[in-house]
Amino acid sequence: MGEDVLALLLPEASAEERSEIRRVITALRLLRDDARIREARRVEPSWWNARRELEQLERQRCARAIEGLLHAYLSAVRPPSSFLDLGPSPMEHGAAWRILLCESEFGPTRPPDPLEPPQAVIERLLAAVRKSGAAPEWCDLWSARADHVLKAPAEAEQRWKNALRSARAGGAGPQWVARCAAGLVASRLERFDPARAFALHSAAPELMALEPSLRRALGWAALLCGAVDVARELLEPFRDPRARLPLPLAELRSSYPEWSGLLTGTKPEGAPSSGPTIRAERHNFGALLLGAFVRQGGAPPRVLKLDAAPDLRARAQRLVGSAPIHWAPWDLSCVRRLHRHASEPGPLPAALAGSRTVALAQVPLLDASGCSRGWLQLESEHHLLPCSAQLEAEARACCRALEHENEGLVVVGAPTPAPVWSLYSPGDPRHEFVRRLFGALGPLSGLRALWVEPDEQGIERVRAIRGGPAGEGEARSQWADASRRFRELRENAGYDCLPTEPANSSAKKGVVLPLADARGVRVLGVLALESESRGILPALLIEAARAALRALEPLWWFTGFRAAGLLRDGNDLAWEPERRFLSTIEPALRATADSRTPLLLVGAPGSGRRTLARWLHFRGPAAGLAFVEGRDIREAGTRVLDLDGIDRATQLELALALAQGSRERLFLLGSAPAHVLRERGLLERELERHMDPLPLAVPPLCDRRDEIPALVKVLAGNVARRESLALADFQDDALAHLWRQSWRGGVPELASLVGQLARAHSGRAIGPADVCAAFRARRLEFRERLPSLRPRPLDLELALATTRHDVGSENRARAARYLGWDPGTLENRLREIGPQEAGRSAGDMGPVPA
Amino acid sequence: MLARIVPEDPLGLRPLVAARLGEQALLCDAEGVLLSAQALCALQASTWRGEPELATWLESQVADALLVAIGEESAAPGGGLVEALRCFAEPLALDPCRLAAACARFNRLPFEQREAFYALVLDADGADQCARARGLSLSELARRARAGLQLFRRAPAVAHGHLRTASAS
Repeated sequence: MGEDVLALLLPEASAEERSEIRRVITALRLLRDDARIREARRVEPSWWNARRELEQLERQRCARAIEGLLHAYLSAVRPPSSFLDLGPSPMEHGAAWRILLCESEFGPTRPPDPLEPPQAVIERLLAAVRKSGAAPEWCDLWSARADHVLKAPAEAEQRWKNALRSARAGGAGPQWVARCAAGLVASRLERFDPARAFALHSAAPELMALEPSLRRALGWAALLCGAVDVARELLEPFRDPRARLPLPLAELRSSYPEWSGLLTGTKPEGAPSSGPTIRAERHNFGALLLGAFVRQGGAPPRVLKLDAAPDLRARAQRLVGSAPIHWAPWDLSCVRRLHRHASEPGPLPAALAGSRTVALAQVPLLDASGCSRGWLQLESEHHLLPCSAQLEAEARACCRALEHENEGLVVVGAPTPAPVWSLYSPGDPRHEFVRRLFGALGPLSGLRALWVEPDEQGIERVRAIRGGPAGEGEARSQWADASRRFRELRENAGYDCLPTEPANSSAKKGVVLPLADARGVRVLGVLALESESRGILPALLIEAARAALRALEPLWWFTGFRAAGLLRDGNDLAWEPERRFLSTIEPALRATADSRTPLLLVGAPGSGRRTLARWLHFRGPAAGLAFVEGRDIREAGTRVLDLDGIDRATQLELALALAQGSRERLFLLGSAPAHVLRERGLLERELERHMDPLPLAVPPLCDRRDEIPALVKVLAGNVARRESLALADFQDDALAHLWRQSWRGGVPELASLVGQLARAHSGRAIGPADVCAAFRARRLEFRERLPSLRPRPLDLELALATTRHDVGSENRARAARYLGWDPGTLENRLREIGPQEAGRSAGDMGPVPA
Repeated sequence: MLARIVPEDPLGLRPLVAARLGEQALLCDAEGVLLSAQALCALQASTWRGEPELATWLESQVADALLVAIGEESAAPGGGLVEALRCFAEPLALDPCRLAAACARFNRLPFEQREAFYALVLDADGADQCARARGLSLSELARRARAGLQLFRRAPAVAHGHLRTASAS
């Protein structure tokens, strides 16, 4: 250690101190050299120490797993408006449960029950943490986070104060203190008190370096208090657009675009708060004033409720009482927010607290038909306003209070859903369409909705009614009128939304909204909306209905297609458009459905080419005409011919008919692309010349395994319906067995086996052993598992697609079971294959090049 | 127990530990890290399916063990590092506990400060040469190394003591 270095680094140190530093450096060099020496000393082994170390390692792993689970469950119950930052997840949910359930003796002994609420799981995890002897500051932190999410904001703030106090008293590291401080700031923001949150800024400058979430929360607090320069400095490092941005701030960003650079992040998904409700008092929102006002025709609004600071109350009452008629926000149909900009000299318009108001929110009080009868107003001295969902909940609470006062103007926010009359036959898949359509319209109190569409003979009929008169007989009397309007619509091109005459004397106004096909060429049906009592229909409801019709157009086709199949031969179809194959070729199907050009459908026998042809017929312009298979002499709208069964003369005859302008839509079924068929002598060049150069390829069933579970259920249902048997229930393991077979015979082979099982086990459960026995009995090859050495990426993708949770997330354990593997093997293969390969497998199915 | 079961170093982890400590400019008890790494290898062996290569896999275990060791020492200074320092520090009339605590804080410093301290103070490579090799000015290099050296001079101040008044308001 040269003196010059010490002089350079510690010029002010005394000789005595330099001497001590030199000794320290010598000790550190010895420590460093000790690590470098290959044959260094070995610590005298101690059995006790070794066991303790192993145990410690295990505990640490367990603690990390519990931390991962707590993170996952708290994230799930944390409302979108919460400011609590849980940081990055330390471990994936599934991996954490695997460690706790299979590999650790310290964790909670059982997984969550199917309907166990997340709150209960969180409690069990916290108990397990305490039992496993984790550090007290660790337990305190997560327990405070859980209380923050599950309890009221005031309790959460107290909890964080206690946690901070005990972290300091217990000598916890500065990192723990910083995390507790971050929690405290978040809880104060959730109490709509940015000023007190910002007060921690001057007290904890060094803690911000240790905990980024503390810095970010303090930056928000500064911004909300108007200290924009401080906020800019604090929020500078937080530019990630994927970071979570609490809902009130995301909404502030929309209403104050100048701050969008400071409020970066993504609005959290999820339902509004499921936690304890906040009482509608102004101090719970950190507000100056909270009032509810009802309009009274030409008179000034009536004050229903006014919770204001003492010095503002009289002023606010005076302002409302003397307000001119036009002062009330008549056009209010959703939450309106106003923020005063620093450069604006005067108070905000309509601010009852005058120049003290920095931000203001107005929320409509909506009556049963959605008309605005009054409004709720909240004013604050800072920019932090509650999120819209919270404000709307308060408005609904006001409505409930009014109802208790026998106030006739406003009704309860969530009335009982109106009754539905459906005229489809029982078991008709189109019930699903009507249910979803009416569901999208909300409770419909005071309104009536009618769904009109053509029946199988093309005659317009009312198919379902929601709401309206109490008696079915009276409902039926309106059908003729609605049908007449549907005919008018079909005859009038360029419609969008037509005002209508009332369907009966009690209704005043209404609209008819058409369901048009995606190209806007055909009217498929109409939705008629009518108000039973007074008032015009709310614009929001009409907009919601129009959006629902647009969104449900594909469902109308799918349910209609299945209904047509049931009507034709009593067989339901497994037609799930979200499955991989159908979703991949949907654009091609849309493009070819309206065409009249002959199309080659390429695929192995039994792969579903005829079903695809039927779908194209159903979607196409010839849907009302006959669908004919073979050389039947009948005139057909659509004709399907298998190239394996028609000779050269017939093909030439067909080519001639096409050349002469035949109106029939022709589908040719082939087992290979056109050029191969031509080389084999199965397709004449004359006929090929008239065909669409881009055929549609239908992959074999083993490449569409994700369709198998639904297919099995539908096939079993068809057998039961046809033969009047009780429905058999396929267990998931039985479906997994069927899923992984090669099905070289295609759908007919699967249908035959499923039929055998459904007959043999009518009304009972079918397990994996029953499936194995059926294979043995037929001397069919049975695959216990798909090959795990160099597997096809497509198989992995289909396994994951088949076994997804209802919410869309992957269920890898179940996917591994379907593949016949253990979960670890699947994880390894997924890692090896990577996203590129998975993406490439998506190109395996698609139109075959000509 | 591991030291008894594995008296030698059949996996050749020791040089990996030493190399990692040097690369990362860390002050740790190499023996403790070695034992942790061996334990991790034993625990994780069943998950290794031949890929990545053994050397890479062992390096990742050593890296994990090092993180565990730094985390442990940071959370509760003492234990293995104090024992390792006892035989070096006591003959030099130094308190091993205090030195271990300072080492734990040193390991939490940014890499550039640790590395500057290692080169300038422990390896004594020469200030000018060190600065030139890193493309830094002498004063910047000294600033970085001083951040490390300060930790061994005095006990750190309690950084969050004054938070009490603010949070209670």
